[in-house]
Amino acid sequence: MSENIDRKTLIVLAAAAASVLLFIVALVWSGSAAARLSEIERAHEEMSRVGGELKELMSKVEGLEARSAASGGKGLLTFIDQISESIGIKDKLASQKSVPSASNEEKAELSFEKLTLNEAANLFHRIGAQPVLLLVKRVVMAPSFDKPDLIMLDMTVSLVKPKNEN
Amino acid sequence: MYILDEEGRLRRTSSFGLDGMEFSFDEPLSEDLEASYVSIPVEWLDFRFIELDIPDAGAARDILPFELDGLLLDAPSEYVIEALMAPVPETQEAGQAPPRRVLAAFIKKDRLMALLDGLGEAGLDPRAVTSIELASVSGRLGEADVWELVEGAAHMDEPARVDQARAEMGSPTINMRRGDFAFRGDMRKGLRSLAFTVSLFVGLMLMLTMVFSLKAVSAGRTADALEDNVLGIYGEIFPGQKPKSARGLSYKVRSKLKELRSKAGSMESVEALDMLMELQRAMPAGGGVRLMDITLDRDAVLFKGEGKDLEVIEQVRSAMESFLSDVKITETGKAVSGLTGFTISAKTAMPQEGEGK
Repeated sequence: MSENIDRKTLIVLAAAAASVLLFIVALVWSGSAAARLSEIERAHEEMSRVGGELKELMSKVEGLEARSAASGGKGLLTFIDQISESIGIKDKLASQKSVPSASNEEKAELSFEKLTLNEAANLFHRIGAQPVLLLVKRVVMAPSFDKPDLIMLDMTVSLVKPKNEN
Repeated sequence: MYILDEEGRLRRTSSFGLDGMEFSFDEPLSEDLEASYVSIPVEWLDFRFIELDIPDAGAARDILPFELDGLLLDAPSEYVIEALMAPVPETQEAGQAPPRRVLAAFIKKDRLMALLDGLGEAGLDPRAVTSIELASVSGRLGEADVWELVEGAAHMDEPARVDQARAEMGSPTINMRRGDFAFRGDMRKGLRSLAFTVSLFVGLMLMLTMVFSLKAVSAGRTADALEDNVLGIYGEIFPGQKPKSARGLSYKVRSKLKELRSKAGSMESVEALDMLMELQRAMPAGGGVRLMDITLDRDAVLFKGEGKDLEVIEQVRSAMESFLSDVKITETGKAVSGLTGFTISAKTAMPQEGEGK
């Protein structure tokens, strides 16, 4: 009789323990699934939010890199010389000086004197319209000392080249 | 068999046949009996009188197996032994020490077990196993031979037996359900109640398990669908790359975005021409402000100039906010020309979403 009671008690206790165990397993499973869902939701939100910008940037960078590969072996000062000559301000280029830069770019400081605003605008336009990646890094404009209607223009420009081109 | 109601009144009697130890009731028991008690025939018991220096039956029960060793056909461990204290003789002087006469009533264990098993099969689990005949003469023990006493009691009339039975239900004179045969019905009831509670608990646990499992399955399916979507977007951004899961992709995308912003930024030019055109638009129509020095960097610009008063300078600053950010008048003062000199600083880059993450 007592053996029967003990067996039944054991069965009941075993069932209770098994149900608690199952519950814990389900709880952990549910928690883990919720955590995974939360992480994927974040990733989805992030992807949707920045995906467009990322593609746009990739395309832009690809275009810029393509331009950087188009220098055809010419140097920065050659391009500046050509541009100055083409808009007739070569004689106003008072100085040009190469400065140290990263391995894949050439950098120079240019100084123009007595430019009209129109000539300055032409210069900026021509630099931006080059098929190569010619960048204006810094511009300082001030009135000429003797002719305040004209501009004294100091600028830093750089020619970006592909990484393997020296 | 006497069936009493809750008040102890005789409701009805029922009879049964006894074949060996198999009980067969003439009519099935319709009542849900709360408790049952059994009075065994007195001839199933054996008796010995023993004198013991013991004050009560409880203590006597502990000693009797030793006292009866050698006085029984089998070892005392083969019997269930009950003790019944004989009344103190009136002739005994006050203060005089016992010995007391103790009636040892005993029954073979195998016989008692057969009786309880038989009753159990008939659906009865008696709280006590007593003897009405012995109980009826318990007050006269010692007056005559015990067999003579109980033989006389065997001829009790029905009402007297019912009264004695009722008294035994309250407090049995002897109870052979002891030791291994002790009544455990209450414990079984408790266990049944516990089992019911535990069953409810198990049910609740299983229900909760089901709820959480369904949640997990649902979350898993939603996550799978979203993950496919995420992997699709990732595949569009990075063709050729096929990650197995979306884990860590968010970080990779942010990292890539940062890298590309930095790369694009390093290859961006100062938009000097655009800046000149915007500045032309920002100048007040009526004049009054002249920009002298302009310094343009990739991220910041600095303007120095002269204006007729602070109001017109503030107009220029305000107009600059349409194409620059963080525009501030950082310095003002009297210029050599007599006008108000000023310095305006600003940032060229508008704040980008996700920066600094």
